Amino acid sequence: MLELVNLTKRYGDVVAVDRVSLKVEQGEFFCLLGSSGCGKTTVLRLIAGFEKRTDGRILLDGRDLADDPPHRRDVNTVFQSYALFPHLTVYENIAYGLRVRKTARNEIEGRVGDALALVGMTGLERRFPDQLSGGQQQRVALARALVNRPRILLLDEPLSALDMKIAEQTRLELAALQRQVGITFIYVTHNQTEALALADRIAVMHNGVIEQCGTPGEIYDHPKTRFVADFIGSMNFFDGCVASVSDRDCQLRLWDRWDVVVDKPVALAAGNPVLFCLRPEQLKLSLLPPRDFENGIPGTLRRTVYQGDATLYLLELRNGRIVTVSQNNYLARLSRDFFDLGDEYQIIWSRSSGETIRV
Amino acid sequence: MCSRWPASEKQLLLLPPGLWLFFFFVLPLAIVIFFSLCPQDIHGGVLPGFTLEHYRRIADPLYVGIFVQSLKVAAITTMFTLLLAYPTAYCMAFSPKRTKMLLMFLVILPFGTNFLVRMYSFVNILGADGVINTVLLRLGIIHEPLDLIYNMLAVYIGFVYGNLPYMILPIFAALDRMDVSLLEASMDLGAGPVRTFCRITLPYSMPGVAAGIVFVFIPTLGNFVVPEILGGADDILIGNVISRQFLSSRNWPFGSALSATLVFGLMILITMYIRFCDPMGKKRLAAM
Repeated sequence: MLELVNLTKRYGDVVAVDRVSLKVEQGEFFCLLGSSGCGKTTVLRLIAGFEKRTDGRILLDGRDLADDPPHRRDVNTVFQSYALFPHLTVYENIAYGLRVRKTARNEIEGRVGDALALVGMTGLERRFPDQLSGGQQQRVALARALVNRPRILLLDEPLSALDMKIAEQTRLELAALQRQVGITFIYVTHNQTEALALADRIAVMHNGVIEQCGTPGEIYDHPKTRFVADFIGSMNFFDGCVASVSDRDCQLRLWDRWDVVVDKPVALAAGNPVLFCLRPEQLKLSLLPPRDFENGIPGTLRRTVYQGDATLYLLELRNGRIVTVSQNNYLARLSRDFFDLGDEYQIIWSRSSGETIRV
Repeated sequence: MCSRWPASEKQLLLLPPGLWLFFFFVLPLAIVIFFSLCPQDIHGGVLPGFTLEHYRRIADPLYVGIFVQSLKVAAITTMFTLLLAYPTAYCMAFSPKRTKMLLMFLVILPFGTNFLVRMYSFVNILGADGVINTVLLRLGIIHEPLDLIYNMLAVYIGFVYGNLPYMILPIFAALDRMDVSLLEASMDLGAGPVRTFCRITLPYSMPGVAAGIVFVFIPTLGNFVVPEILGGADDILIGNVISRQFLSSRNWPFGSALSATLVFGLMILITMYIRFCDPMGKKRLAAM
């Protein structure tokens, strides 16, 4: 088990990583998600040993390895640029770590062969890195790290240099591979789709701090901060305050105008400001007023954006704010829902939908 | 390969350098070879005719000995230049960008002064009343001036000093291109700093080292200025012998024969170097 305790990295006055604490379980696929400059790569480099921590601890099974040089740590890295040795063949690249550890010759042969088979590169042993495609180089980088059977595999944006189609396919293979080898993966990415698809748990980072850590479902459905809500998927934000709270639900007043009911109590007293979040796919348009279990506010349709599988409807509220509604095109066609620009509709959502974030 | 240029137009691009090489390399070399096969005119000219006498004379142990001595001096010079240049280039390549530019400037700076002037300045540094001896005498460390000049030591110092930039720059260029994550990858895979250097950094910089060796070895082999200025009366290299044939002995055919031998000897050496040492990594491309 890997545990980071108040891990901090400062460059002069700049705090790249600010008291990061987290636990990664054995065999877990863990994602560090954030935009560039958020400190996620620095966390990875601290674990690998390429950067020296300013403060805090890095515990692997309870032992602090923060002072060990990189070559004494039982972790391996898949670099964003792959960092394959250009003067060595695929075989020698993969065998490098084993040779350094003075592994017996026939064992090296066996393990390199297994690693090549694992990533589907058997037969390309004698190629040099510059004779491989990007996807193939990525596989060699993966095999070169996995062949050492590290306790933890660190992956730094391993798919970001690949074409979208190849990246999607490699993503599926990567998930299957991780389950097969059972090694703990710590995966750094700025791509939320990748993180949601791959991870057992995600830590969303921003300005060197972990904003929220949880399963992909928790992160997507129950964001705890405005940054997380905004960063993952798309989101409509409503400024509001708590009007009243009971033990079953609460009432919010949005933009001092519209009263809505949320089927979930908040731990805040009446009068406190909140941020209410709704995803475009949780909303629908209607000519009818909301029913008992629904909320609704009126808006004028200003623009539609066709996206193939869905259509985005941009509605202007009476206070000038824009709300985005996403409707599945197939279902809309079945129910013959058509909406005209310039008309006013009710924006409807279920009382069980929406997240209330304290501000 | 760029396929937008038809083959005939690509050949057209080779015309200017081809003409240049023809007029200033092939033609002079042909004249040298022609002269080397002509009899000598005792008044210093070249007589028409054909003789192999000059080449026979080169086989004299005296000249063979000077050839061997020149090869040895060039090889030792190249070795010491490499030993000094590699760490320098390494430090430069892994310095912060501003320091890197400054160091680069300092390496190139000596080119602003004429080579001869720089060599003569060594007389003031190494001479009996030069800087080094004066300081050591004043400090009382020595009581007699040291023999630092007009011997092989001074020749080596001059050669290594003069050649350093030609070795530093190609090695620096090779190391500067290197992605630091290659070193991190090596450490990540369990290799310590020494092993990382031997198995990643050094092989990666080999094309630069190979270029530096050629840049230093060849000019040193034919150089006659440095032994002339800093060497003693007996410190004669093949370059001095050739220059004397043309200037003082006025034996152009023999000088031409020595030059032709040197040029073809070098061609054979370089071909062998490229074939057997594989400095450019061509063999690995052949392994495709």
